[in-house]
Amino acid sequence: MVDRAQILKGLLDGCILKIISQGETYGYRLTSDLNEYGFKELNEGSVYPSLIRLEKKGLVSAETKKSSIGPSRKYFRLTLQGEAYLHDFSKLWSEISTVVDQIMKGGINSELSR
Amino acid sequence: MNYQGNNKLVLSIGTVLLIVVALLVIFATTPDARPALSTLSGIIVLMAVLSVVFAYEKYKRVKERVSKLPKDFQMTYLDIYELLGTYTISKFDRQNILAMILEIFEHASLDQRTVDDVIGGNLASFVDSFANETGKSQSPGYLFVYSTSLFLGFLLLIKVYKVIRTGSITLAALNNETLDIGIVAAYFIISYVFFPWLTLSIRKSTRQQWQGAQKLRLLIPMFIPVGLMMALIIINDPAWRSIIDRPLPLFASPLSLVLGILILFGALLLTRLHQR
Repeated sequence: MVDRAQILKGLLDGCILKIISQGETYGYRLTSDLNEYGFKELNEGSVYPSLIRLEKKGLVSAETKKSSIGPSRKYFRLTLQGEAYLHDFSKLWSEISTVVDQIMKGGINSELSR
Repeated sequence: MNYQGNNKLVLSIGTVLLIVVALLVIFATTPDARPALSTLSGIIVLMAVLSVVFAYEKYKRVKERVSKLPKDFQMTYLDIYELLGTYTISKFDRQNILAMILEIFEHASLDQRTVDDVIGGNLASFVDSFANETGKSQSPGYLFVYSTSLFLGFLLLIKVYKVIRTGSITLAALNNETLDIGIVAAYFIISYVFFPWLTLSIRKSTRQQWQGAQKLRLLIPMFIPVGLMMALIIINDPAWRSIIDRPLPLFASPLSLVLGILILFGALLLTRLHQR
């Protein structure tokens, strides 16, 4: 049985950075967005620790703001380092996903067998 | 799951009761020592009562912070607050994690989710995922250096007190004011056995969610310092007394005193490094 969580572990940081790059956001909203995209198994216990890790690495910066409708929130935005990391991640994901897709479709073997 | 959030309060109240019982036993069995023990007893009981007051005040302050949350979220937050204290993480990281968890709980309660839904039914695992990004649970190495700093701190404090009490800080006073084997052995056991056992018990209590009478198990390690105090005072047997009261020439020279202080600072530095 494929370990989905293990595969997701390597991709989560990149996905989180991509969503943050679209506009500053807070952890609870980010979790909800990831669930809507299709990562239904992700919860706050996975996403918030990732945000701690990304902040410690300097890829995101955080600012606590009071919300007019309810609790205070810690808003995250990308740093320059985070943008560079996201660029590299996107490039790498594009390369890897192309290769994996090709393998899954049996592309090379079908080429070799001709 | 039921969450309690008051391990340290139970511990403080239980310890006060144990100390009071111990003092009553000492008074009953050593009537000659009553005058000398009265002041000491008063100080010990006062410190114990103050520790209950401080524990209760801290509990109240933390509870006020989460007073707007539903009850089960409040209690879970208090449990997380205590559990995080058993990880070697810096104060800054601890405050950061607690702020994030409070944010999660506030939003989740507005969405009318349950606590178990938020933490996945496993408090220890939920807290681990946060703490692992910033530190680690108290390793044997951390407990050892912390115990060493406690032990040396105790001994240096008593030594300094005894020397100052003579009225002059001289080489003669440093040499003459010795520590007894009984006191040194007692502090050794308190530092290297009692403290780690208590820390691990608090951690176990929060992770396993001990309920009601189970929480009284937290008091078991307290029998060590209370029992040692009673033994040092009550034992009258000449053979035992000759061992307990035998002087140990610790920190009897300026060099050994400086060495002790250096080792103490080294141990304190290592505990800080463990928190990074």
